[in-house]
Order: sequence, then structure tokens, then C-alpha cells
Amino acid sequence: MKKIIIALLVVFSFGAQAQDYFWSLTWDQSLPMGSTADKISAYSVRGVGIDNRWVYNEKYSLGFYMGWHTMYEAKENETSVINNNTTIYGTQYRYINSIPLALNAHYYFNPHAKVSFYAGLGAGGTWLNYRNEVNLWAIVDKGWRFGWYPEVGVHVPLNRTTKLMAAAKYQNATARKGGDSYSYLNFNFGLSWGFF
Amino acid sequence: MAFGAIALMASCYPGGPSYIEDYDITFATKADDADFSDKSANVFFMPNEIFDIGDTNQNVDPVNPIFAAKVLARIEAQMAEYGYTRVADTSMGENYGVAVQRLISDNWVTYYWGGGGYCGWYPYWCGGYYPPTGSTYNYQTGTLYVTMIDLDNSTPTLPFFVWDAGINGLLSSTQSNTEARALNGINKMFELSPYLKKN
Repeated sequence: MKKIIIALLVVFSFGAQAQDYFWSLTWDQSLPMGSTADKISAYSVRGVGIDNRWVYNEKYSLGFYMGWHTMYEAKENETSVINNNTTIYGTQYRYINSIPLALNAHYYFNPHAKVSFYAGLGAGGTWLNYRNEVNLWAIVDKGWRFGWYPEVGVHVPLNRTTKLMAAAKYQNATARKGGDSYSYLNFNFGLSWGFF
Repeated sequence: MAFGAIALMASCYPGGPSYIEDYDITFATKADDADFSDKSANVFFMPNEIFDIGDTNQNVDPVNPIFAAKVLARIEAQMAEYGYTRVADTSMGENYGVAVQRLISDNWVTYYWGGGGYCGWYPYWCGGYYPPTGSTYNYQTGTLYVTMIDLDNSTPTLPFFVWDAGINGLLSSTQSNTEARALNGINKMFELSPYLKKN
């Protein structure tokens, strides 16, 4: 974490001459990965994101991202074994609510092209709530975790101040005491506004 | 407005149970040191009634005798399928005692909402515009327990409980619905416990 903050500060200090700003509003869709897919495997179109970036020397940006991603799956007639001796059978309703809040840094490969590509990294805190409801009880794993993501994306200018935006993030929320780690692919589609 | 629409789409808990059957669970637990390997120990005694173990002050109807007969017959049939023989009375060489119990619980819930919008579950997200409003409701849940005691390894003061199983769910207003769910649950609790087999 310390190294990431130092790296962000270094990029910031080198690019402080020419500064532009833009923000993006995106429709975020999620595909659970790894052990998260064992809990919920369904693709989710429920999500929203806001990205704010300050651009330096046209090639670099620093900013922050906030998102809210909801995943859901009903596991009908699921049998679970607890402590080897107890078996429970019933329908489970599983939910993930993930709210990543991250500082991010991006590099723009061809900022003035008709289709411009970028790559970046975000890191911060993710509040994540996994809830498995069965009968009238719920197994809950929630709280703040360290969150980070690599990202690739593309901008397509519509006019001087507006661009179409599409991006893919691999969202990671690390394990916390008594809880699991979570990961999911996040696809963002939206618009960016600003001078950049 | 666009953001609001998207935020609504991201709602915290999309989907969920639609029917009271969706809340049903069946469970089965075997004691750590339970041993069902002796195939010749396959005789059981089961009292001809369902015991009510709920709070006696509760306003709960007594167990319907037709329902009780069907439940006991289904348990006996499932035990027979697993190689057990029921005896009509005690002291007839029974190796196991099986008891069936019913527990009905009242559940009171008070909830609040405020500020409008979707976030009724999270009043602190939506509150502040005007004081939250509250409401209280009650729902009843029923549990049917089947308990098995290993009489060969019990003492008069210390019964050895080797198997506990049950079905739990919201009570239905119709007897036929409750009955069907209970009988299905009995089938399932034996299906979850293949280690009981004596054949």
C-alpha cells in the first residue's frame, strides 16, 4: 500500500504542469471469478460507477473511483454439510453487495486518436457484504477489505467534451479475519465528460 | 435522473423467496460417536403421538391427530425402508427409541423506513428528510423434530441421542400445505442420513 501511494505521488509530481479533468458515469456489470464464482456464478448487470480523473501531460492521470456492484443467485435445493455430521437442505439466496472506493492511476497510449486506449491500476478500500440466506437465517460475511484492480479501457470521442467509455477491471477484495477474499471481472460502459 | 435509475437497478437485494416453501429447510445431524454398523440392532419403539415442546402459554392449536398419524406413518415407512422394525410397546427388544416433537415459535419483527426510496432495510441511508415510520408484525415458524436414542448404549439417567433431524419453515394457513411440506421433509431427512441404513 505504501509503495502504491509513493508511486502515485511520483506520477503526480512529474505531471503537474498541464492538467485536465474528466469524470465518467458507467453502467457496471460483474462476472464473479475464482472462489467467488463458487458462491455466485451468475453474471450481473446491476451496478454503477463514477470515475474522476485529473490528467497530466496528456498521458497520465490520477483520480478516484467509486462503484456499487450487486450480484445475486438463488441456489435451489442446495445441500450443505457442516462439521461432517450435520446436513442442511434448502434453497439458498446469495447476495454480494460490493462498494469499491479506490485511488487510481492511468496511462493513455494514444490520447488524440479516434479510439484511444488506456491501462491503469486502482487501490483502496472495498466494503463488501456477502449474504447467504437460507430459511430465516443468514450467513453474513461483511466489512471493509483492501481492494485493488488492474484496468484496461478505451475512449471514443463523440464531441469536444464527451467520450464514450468502455473498460474492464479485475476487482479484488482481500480476505479479512473470519472472511473470504472475493474477485470479479467488472465491465464498465458509459460516458466521460470534461476537457482532456 | 440517469444516475438514480442506475442506482435503483443496483438495488441491494434483488430477488428472493416468493413462496413460503422457499423458506423450508430440512436438517439431519448424527452424533459424533454414533455407530449404526450393527445391522442386527434394528428394532425401534416410537410413541404414537407427536409431543408439543413449545411454550405452553402460547396460543397454539393442539397437534391435529390426522396430521400426526400421517407423520408417524411416514417415519415408520422410511425406517422400514432402511431395515428397521417398529415394535408396538416398550420392553420388546427395541434397540432404538424414536420421538417426534413439534415446536411452534412466535417471531416478532419491528422495522422502520424513512425518507422514501428503496432503502427500507437501511433507514440510516434514507433518513433525515422526515422521521422514520415503524411497524410491527408477527410470523409463526414450525419445526418438526425426529430424535433417535440408542437404547443399547444409554443409561436410565443419560440417554444417548444418536440422530436428530427436522424440518423448519413458516406455518401455512392451510393444513394440506403444511402436511405436504412436512411429509416431503421427512423423506428428505432420511435421504440426508444414509448412515442409518441397516439393510
